[in-house]
Amino acid sequence: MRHRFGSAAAIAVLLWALVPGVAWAHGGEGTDRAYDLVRQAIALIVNTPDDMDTITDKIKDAIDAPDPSDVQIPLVQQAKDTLDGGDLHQTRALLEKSIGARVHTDAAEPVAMGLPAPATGADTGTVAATDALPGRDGFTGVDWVMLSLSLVFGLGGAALSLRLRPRNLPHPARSREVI
Amino acid sequence: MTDIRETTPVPANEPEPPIHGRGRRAIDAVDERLGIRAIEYPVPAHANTIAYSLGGMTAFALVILIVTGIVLAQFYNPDPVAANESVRQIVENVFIGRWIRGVHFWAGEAMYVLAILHLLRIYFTGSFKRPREANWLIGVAMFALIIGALFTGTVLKWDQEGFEALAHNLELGKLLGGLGFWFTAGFSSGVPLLVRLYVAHVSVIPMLIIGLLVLHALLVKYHKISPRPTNPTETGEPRAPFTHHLRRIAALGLVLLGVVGVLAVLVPPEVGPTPVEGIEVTRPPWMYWWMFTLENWIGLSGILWGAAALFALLIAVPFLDRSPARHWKQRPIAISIGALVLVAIIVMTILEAVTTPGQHLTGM
Repeated sequence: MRHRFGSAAAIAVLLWALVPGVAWAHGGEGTDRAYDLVRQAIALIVNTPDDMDTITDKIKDAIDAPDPSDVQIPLVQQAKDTLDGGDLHQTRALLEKSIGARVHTDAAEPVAMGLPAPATGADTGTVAATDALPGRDGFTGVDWVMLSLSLVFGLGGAALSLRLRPRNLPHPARSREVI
Repeated sequence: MTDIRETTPVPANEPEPPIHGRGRRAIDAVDERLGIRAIEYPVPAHANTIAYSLGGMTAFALVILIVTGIVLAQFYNPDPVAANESVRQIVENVFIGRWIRGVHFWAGEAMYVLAILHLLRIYFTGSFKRPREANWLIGVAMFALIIGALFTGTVLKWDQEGFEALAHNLELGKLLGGLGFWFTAGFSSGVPLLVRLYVAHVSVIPMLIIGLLVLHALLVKYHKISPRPTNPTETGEPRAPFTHHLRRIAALGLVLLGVVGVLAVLVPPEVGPTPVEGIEVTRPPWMYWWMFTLENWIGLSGILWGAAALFALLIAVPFLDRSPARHWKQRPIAISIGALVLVAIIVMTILEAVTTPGQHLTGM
């Protein structure tokens, strides 16, 4: 009896552990909020500025969204017209204004005008996407010092490892008969 | 200059030749109390070849990661609202912050590559065979943890790429059913997932890696460094104290530090745009490309099945290839399967590199 109960419990645990959950969409699955769609349009401009079709579609979705709360839709409409004219920079600025974000001026901007709500769970905490910060933009004195130090480490290590290398290993060809 | 300990075979159980002086007396005093000379046990000379030093170099990469990680942790803020900005602050306003972050990034890449090369060396020389099967499994577990550290590190910079990596894992967690509970926002709804991943990255994963590394090293000492398949009896091979092996590892580690230091200056990693949910526009880091080719072929679950198949194979290796033969010529099936898996991963990696990132997350 105890054996049967154990088996049933094991099966129940396995079922719980292995049955896939319902496919879950994080963030914007079928979102009807213009606010989210505008944020996505800004992120598309930042990440894939050459993909004009996707950016245009996203802005249209924002204009037609059933829930326009927290968004100044006329500004989004204006952004669409600007995009049609090919001015991506102005389009992004208008979209940022439409959701109350400070307009981007450098890699650290834009940020929210007010304090954003604390991010929990899978929230990104992003109001409007900022530009990427390139890995490098010119050499400074510190860069030259760190480059020189690294070269000293590397070359010093190479010299030491050459000195410490094994030199009296029997050649594999000579010991092949033992295979 | 020739090292006398290399040219003159040191009989087993004989410590390094005594060196007199104040330093040596200090070591003697410490040894009397802590027994540190116990690590001067003899190891065969082939342990100092680069192929047999890859594990030690991987450990050296871990040391670089821990040191630079401690520095970065003083300035990183895991709050989703501030995380990306704090990384920018490290790069732009912390003294040599860009270099330290670059070294951390490149040392992580190096650790992954070195671990794979170490694993391949063990596989192709049959060093995982009896009695070293358990140590192979420990190594596979450490490799999984390294991948976990790379994944969490990718997410921590909290840019679009990092967030999309997390989004993939959130959905994979759902595919795992109950086993994926940790990867759900609802598991601890009041705490951002980013904070939980930060805890995993700086605490849970390093602790597990270090614990397993200690066990791994103890088992290497217990079973001894595996002989070369071309000379299984180590005939005519000189022996040197383990401390000599440590010095060689340190020297190779300095080379590694130099290389990652130069890369950190010349090719520092960028900080991507702050993330926005609901779009999928980035390519994952290169080490995941082969899995994303599978995703392109069969959907999101391809990542799960691909990773599960690879690790199932790695775990099965010592149970399937059980013959005592270690030379590659005597193991045609094992070597062929290993080579096939390797080629398949390389081809799938190249395929992802030349294709436009696809959209697989629901709702994108």
